[in-house]
Amino acid sequence: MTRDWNELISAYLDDELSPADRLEFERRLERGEVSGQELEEMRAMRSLTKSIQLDEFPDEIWERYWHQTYNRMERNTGWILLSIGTIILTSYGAYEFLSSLWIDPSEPWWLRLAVGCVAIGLSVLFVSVLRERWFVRNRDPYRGIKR
Amino acid sequence: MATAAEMSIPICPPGGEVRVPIQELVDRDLILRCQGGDRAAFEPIVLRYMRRAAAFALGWTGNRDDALDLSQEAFARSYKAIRRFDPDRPFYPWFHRILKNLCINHIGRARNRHEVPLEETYPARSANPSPLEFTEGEERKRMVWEGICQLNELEREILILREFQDYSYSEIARVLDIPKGTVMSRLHNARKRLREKLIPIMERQG
Repeated sequence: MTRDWNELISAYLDDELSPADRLEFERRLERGEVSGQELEEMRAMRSLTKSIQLDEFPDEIWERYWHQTYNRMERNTGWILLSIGTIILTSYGAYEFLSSLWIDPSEPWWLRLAVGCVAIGLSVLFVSVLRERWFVRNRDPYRGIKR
Repeated sequence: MATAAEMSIPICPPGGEVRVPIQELVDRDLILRCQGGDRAAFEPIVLRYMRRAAAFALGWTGNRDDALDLSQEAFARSYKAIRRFDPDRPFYPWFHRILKNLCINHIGRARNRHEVPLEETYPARSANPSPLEFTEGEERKRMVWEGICQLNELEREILILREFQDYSYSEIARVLDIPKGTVMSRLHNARKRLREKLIPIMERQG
């Protein structure tokens, strides 16, 4: 495969070419096989970006960085426990409410039918979502990374 | 709870037991301890990479508070997923992907909320500011930053690593888990694209 030496202009300016490649690059530059104009344009552009630096963080930021990170790690655990508890309590409450409607003979039949449909529909949706998540999780090569 | 600075672990070389400060352990050993449930073992990892992570996030978001927030969140998420991580692989490239994805999502949310365009906020300062050139210098860096914000994710990422964090090509290749040759071509193309957006500035400078 033919090598495009113009693509190595940046590497040449950054002094990242091996000695052999650097020599070859300069030979090709002399012969006009590497664009001298592009080299100079890239040199000017590089000089421009190098003149820009990011603001530095004050030192006190780093002194509390770990503690702030640790608090986040703890909060994640807290949210998980809260979510589990809320799901259990909500499910129990819904179960008690729906079952009291279902077994009460004084309630109209259409209301008890609606309760039955809600319960069955939620169960179907829950199982469907769970099955899809399980399927995707087992086949996702990047499951450790969330986007 | 003892901090990582106070902790040490025993290792047993042939000459007898030696206690090694936990912050001197390599990433692999620390990760194995984290996977065993030792949360304090994550502290040396955070201390080791926090500046690098915050600097990358700053280069991406342009806002110091957001950069700290995102880098800390990336560490928290990486700890949450640490049990699924292969300790024989290098930690930072894996962490870097988590951080980059958080930065990308952050930018997307900011744009969807129609917040101040990132091109109008920038964390950069000139390397050698001169009072006489202050106005022109501010304008120049604003336009450079604006150009960088218009690049796609891959181009922007590699420019931040090289131009703002001074990574060598080998280091970039390790962080991004790509061949060095790909670093060369990708960085060159990113600079070309940025140059297209900066041509007005360069013509004014002569």
